[in-house]
Amino acid sequence: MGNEQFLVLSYCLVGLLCACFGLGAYYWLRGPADAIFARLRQSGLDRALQKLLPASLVALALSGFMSVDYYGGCVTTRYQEIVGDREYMLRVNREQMSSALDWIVRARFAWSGIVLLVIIAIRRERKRATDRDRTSPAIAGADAVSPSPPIAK
Amino acid sequence: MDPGMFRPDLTPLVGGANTLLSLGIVLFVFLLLRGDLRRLLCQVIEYPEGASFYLRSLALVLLATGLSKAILYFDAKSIAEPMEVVWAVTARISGLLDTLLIVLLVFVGMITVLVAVGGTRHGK
Repeated sequence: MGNEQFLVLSYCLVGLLCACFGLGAYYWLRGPADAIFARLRQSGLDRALQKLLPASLVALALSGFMSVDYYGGCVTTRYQEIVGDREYMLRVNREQMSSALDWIVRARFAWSGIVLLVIIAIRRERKRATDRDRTSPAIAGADAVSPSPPIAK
Repeated sequence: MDPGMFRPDLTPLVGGANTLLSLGIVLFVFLLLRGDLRRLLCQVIEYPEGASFYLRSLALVLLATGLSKAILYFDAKSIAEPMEVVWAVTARISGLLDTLLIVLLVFVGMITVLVAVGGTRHGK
């Protein structure tokens, strides 16, 4: 296999692998995350969050993969030099995978914050519902205790 | 040592030892925290799936951090001396421990917010 084909093949394979990292992270978190989002009473928000979780994890993993530059940082490398050096290509591939994993960690932190907000929202909803239930029977009970006075004949 | 003597290339050993040690440290930290963290989360969040989400996300973060560092530092210059292997591995593990510290600090911050929210709820 020529070096140019190796470059294309390794780029595609590592890109695919990074997308798989994102998907793997999603499948690992999906069960509990979906169960928490399903507790939200606002219709639509739970479904939106359920769809956003895989999209964001895969997108950020791919973003990490794509953020690595073959041309290097300070020392500018020419295309012919890149293609001529397989070791360099493999090193960039490793950097791409590492960057994708780093972005998954950042995405996870963001999602932990979102889940925290969802938990707070669920508690507020439940508290509001409990308050409503508490006040409604009180009014009903007051009606029952003090019935309207009998009409004198 | 005789300079003309054959010395095997120990570079793959650095990569292997680095990967094994990274994953071992990460696993050790997770196992160390898991039991108490689960108890705390079950107490604070009250939904079992919430506790499960945070535990799974901690496992994911630790694994991703360990793998990220292990992959990144897999290549090293050609190493032939045993002591050079030790230096190379310790330098890389030091980087991993730095990152783990930051990750755990962020996680502890998040759990503290969770406990603060839960504490307010119990206090009422």
